[in-house]
Amino acid sequence: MTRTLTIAGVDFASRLFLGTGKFSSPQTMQDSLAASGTQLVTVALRRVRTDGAVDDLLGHLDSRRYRLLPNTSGVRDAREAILAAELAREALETNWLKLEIHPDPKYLMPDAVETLNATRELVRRGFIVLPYVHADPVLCKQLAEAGAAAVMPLGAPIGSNQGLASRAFLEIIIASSTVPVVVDAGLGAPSHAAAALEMGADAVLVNTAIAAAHDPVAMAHAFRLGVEAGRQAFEAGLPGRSPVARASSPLTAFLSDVADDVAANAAANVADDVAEAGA
Amino acid sequence: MTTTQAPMVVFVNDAPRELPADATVTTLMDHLAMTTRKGIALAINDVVLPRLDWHHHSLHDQDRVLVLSASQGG
Repeated sequence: MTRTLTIAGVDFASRLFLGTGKFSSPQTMQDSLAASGTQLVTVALRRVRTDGAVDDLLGHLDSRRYRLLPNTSGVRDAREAILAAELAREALETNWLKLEIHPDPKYLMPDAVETLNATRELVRRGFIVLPYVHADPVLCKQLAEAGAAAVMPLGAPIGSNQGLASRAFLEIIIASSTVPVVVDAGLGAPSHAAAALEMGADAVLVNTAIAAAHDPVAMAHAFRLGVEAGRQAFEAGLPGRSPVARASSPLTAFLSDVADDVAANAAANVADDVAEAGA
Repeated sequence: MTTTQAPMVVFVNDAPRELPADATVTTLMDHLAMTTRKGIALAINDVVLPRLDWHHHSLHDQDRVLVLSASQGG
């Protein structure tokens, strides 16, 4: 078993968070959530239809099994985000919030300035704020100082399935963050999720890659395995890389005398260790 | 309660809706068949109104009512 993740005093055995968007049916969503093992799911808020049509999402989410993380998708600035947050708290009876402010509908790039301003105000109002942001190490530090319970830097644009395009910056965020780091957006395959966890990300949030898969339930399980493998590898401690081969079998003479080759290989490894130690 | 006043118009998610002049938020939500629905929240003129206050909050002509509910999202 791997270590438990704690965010704002709440423990999560699963480091895979799921979005509830884009599923073809409520049943597929429910089955996918179950297969993923997730304990935290995001939900959106939408203007209700006044023609009597009912979108009964909550009826399909077992509140004992899943903690809800309402998002502020659709807002354009901090002022709208704060109103959306207050509405989410009232509608869903939780003070947890995925803060996302992306005014540009084409690329859905998060607005750093508005997000930081909104975080300060929402923390003051008692929200547990998980802001969705660029993989910007300076911004993530500022958000943590502002009281964010975790940071959610993007791997790639939302729904793009491009994977860890921001890898170099995620590594800096993970190395320096004082709050949990949840890689959100752009993860398109279980290998991306595994890579994020191997790097030391505390969790990942996945939606499109599962919901839009040919078999979402099977893909949810595949992501679960990827996340578990990645985390276990991180905790096990990945060995360092080497530019040259290092024999995994004992280099002893077999059919012929290879003493010279053995000596050469050993010398190369020693030289490489010296170089690494000096780096 | 009877009323002789002219009806008023409020805007529910931008759509105009005629209500009796003495309507409360509960009156409106009854009209929308949403009084008992879970996962709903509303704001009157951008101020969130807790569910407990619906029954005694009077609506006014031209009020803007924003009604949201939980929906699928990532």
